Amino acid sequence: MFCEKVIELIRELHRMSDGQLPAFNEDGLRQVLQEMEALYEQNQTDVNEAKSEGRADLIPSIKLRHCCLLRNQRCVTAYCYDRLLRIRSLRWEYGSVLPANVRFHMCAEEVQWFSQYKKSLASFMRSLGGGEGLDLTQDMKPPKSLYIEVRCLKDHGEFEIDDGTVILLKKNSQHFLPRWKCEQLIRQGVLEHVVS
Amino acid sequence: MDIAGKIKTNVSVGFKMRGLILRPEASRYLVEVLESVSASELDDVIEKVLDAVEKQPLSSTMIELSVVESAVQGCTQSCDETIDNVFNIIGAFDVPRYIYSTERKKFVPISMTSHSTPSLCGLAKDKAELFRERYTILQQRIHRHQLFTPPAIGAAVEEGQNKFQLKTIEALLGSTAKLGEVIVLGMITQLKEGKFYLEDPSGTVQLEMSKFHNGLYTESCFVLAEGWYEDSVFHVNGFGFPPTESSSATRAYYGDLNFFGGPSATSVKASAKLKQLEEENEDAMFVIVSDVWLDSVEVMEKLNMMFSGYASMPPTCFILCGNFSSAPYGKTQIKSLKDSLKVLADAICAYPSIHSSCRFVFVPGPEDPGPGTILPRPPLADHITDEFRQRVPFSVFTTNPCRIQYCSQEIVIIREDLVNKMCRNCVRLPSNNLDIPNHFVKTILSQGHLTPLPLYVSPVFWAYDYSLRVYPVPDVIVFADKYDPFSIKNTDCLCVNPGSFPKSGFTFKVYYPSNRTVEDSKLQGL
Repeated sequence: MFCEKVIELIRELHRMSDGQLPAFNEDGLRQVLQEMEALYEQNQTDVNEAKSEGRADLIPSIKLRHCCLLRNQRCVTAYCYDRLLRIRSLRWEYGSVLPANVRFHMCAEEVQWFSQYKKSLASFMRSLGGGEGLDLTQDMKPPKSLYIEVRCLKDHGEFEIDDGTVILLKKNSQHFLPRWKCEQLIRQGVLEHVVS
Repeated sequence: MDIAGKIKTNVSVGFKMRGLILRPEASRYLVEVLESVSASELDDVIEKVLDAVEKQPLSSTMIELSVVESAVQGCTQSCDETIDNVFNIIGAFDVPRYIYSTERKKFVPISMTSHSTPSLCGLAKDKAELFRERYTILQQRIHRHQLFTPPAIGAAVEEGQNKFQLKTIEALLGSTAKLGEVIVLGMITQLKEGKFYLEDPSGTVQLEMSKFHNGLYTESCFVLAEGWYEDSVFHVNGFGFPPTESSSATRAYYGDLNFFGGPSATSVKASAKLKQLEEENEDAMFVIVSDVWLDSVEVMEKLNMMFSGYASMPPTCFILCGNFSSAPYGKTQIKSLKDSLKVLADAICAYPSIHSSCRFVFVPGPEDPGPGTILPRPPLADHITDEFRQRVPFSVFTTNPCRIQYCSQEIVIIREDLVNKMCRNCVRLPSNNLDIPNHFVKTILSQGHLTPLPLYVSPVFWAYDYSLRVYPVPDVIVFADKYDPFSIKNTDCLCVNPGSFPKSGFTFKVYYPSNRTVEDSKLQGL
């Protein structure tokens, strides 16, 4: 049946819960494009025939194929767009450097789009906050306290905080640090939040 | 101090906005570097550095000193980049390794897989992997071929255009009834003497052979066998080679991965600048000579004649293939090779234009001093070539096989007497001997491998088998062989054999990259 392949693509995205990015289904997309090409070519020949020989009986099948073409197009666009939305939310969730396995699920164009998105987001954030810039991605929910108590889980070397003081992150040492500076390190598993 | 402080805040804000965190030593380094930049340009320069940092493969948001250093270097040298990429010689041991992942249907660099880094002393696993990889590469290529892809839905079915379906050997072995009209991809092996078997990762089946299509079918060759199966014997109606695929088609599927090697991050085919450079440089030529017996007086005379002829119009590169001595044995071999290289250096220095503007690439032959005939073969030992390289700075002693990337073209060079070896190990020799070069080229390209021979005939370092791949198909393959010279075009690939220089009456080949043609040349006795 027509348009079956493209629905398969959409379903694949739908099955994934929010925020997860499945591998870019290049093969499926190629099959859809092939189907569209075949439909288009058949329509072309039929249209020519209908015009030159005045065969009105061909018109319903032309219309059907045209609808299928439009549906395919719409679904492919939806597939690409939904992926872009997911990729955009990755920037806010994971930060600007994606883990290798996520990056591998993106096609070359999506990687390019991601880096451009990063860039425009950065220039926008820089224009805020009166020359200093404002990082919108931090504190997405209002924090309870600005400073938190953390414990080092592994040696990480020197670490600089905003006011310029450099602290040494040694294994098992405890520090009282600005929350936003530690968030990244906690995610990486270098620090651990000590909840007293 | 005030300026430094300002730079520092600017830098840290810039990195913070991109979601990156600088290591203290990295930020100190950046401030030092940026102190020389005027305040008005500062923001632009920081942006540039940031872009360069993001281009590098980052594993975490923590930016180390080394990353920043190379980014700054990249910024200052960005204009030289294309010049670096114009001409590169890639040894077999520097070829990047990609592994085909069947789940992802993509080629994955080895660093992203669980494979261990290759070593010369391969493990048993490497030997199994070698055949498995040859198989998977061919299999994915076949599945993409239009004869084997399922028809698009809605497409009109054309008469006489059959679609085939590949079966595995497992599927044959599992059936008790007679199976007619099946196609199987597998490797020809001789498990018992005189009895041929077809082997694929799922099993082996005995063969009963009758008809062959064009090509040289050797043991360890992968074939598409068409026939019927009954009583655990596969009766082959026809043998065929896996269909070839042009490199542009391969790249359409896998993007700009740089399969070939060299400094460029993406495939050089994608660079319009290099393409333009290549077309503008119409005088570029590659002189390819094989069997350069440096100890033979006659050969040296002819080389001298060649240099004097080219002195007014020096070619881009001389590709000189071994063996470099006519009598490759005896305890004085290394000493005499050193002496004859000295003579060659004298000859080159006599023509200053050639000495200063030509490159010399030396590909060792099977009988040159070195570790036997196992491929890929390391270059001639340093202590033999030291003196020569000092006198002729543009000379490169490289591996066999080796690869040359010139602008957007990819050239593979192998010095090995392959035609003879393949013919000798054929399951059945084609009746028409005249076509042997054609058959040979077809075989190599369809196998996607330079030596589709059993390992006891043409041994390879198991873990380095990937460096002998010719997939995606390069633009030019030079088979330096003692067989008669030929140049054949197949699947957009030019296959050239310069022939043995001294044995074939001093013939050699000249390749013009700008219009992709090969000229047969010969030095007549004067």
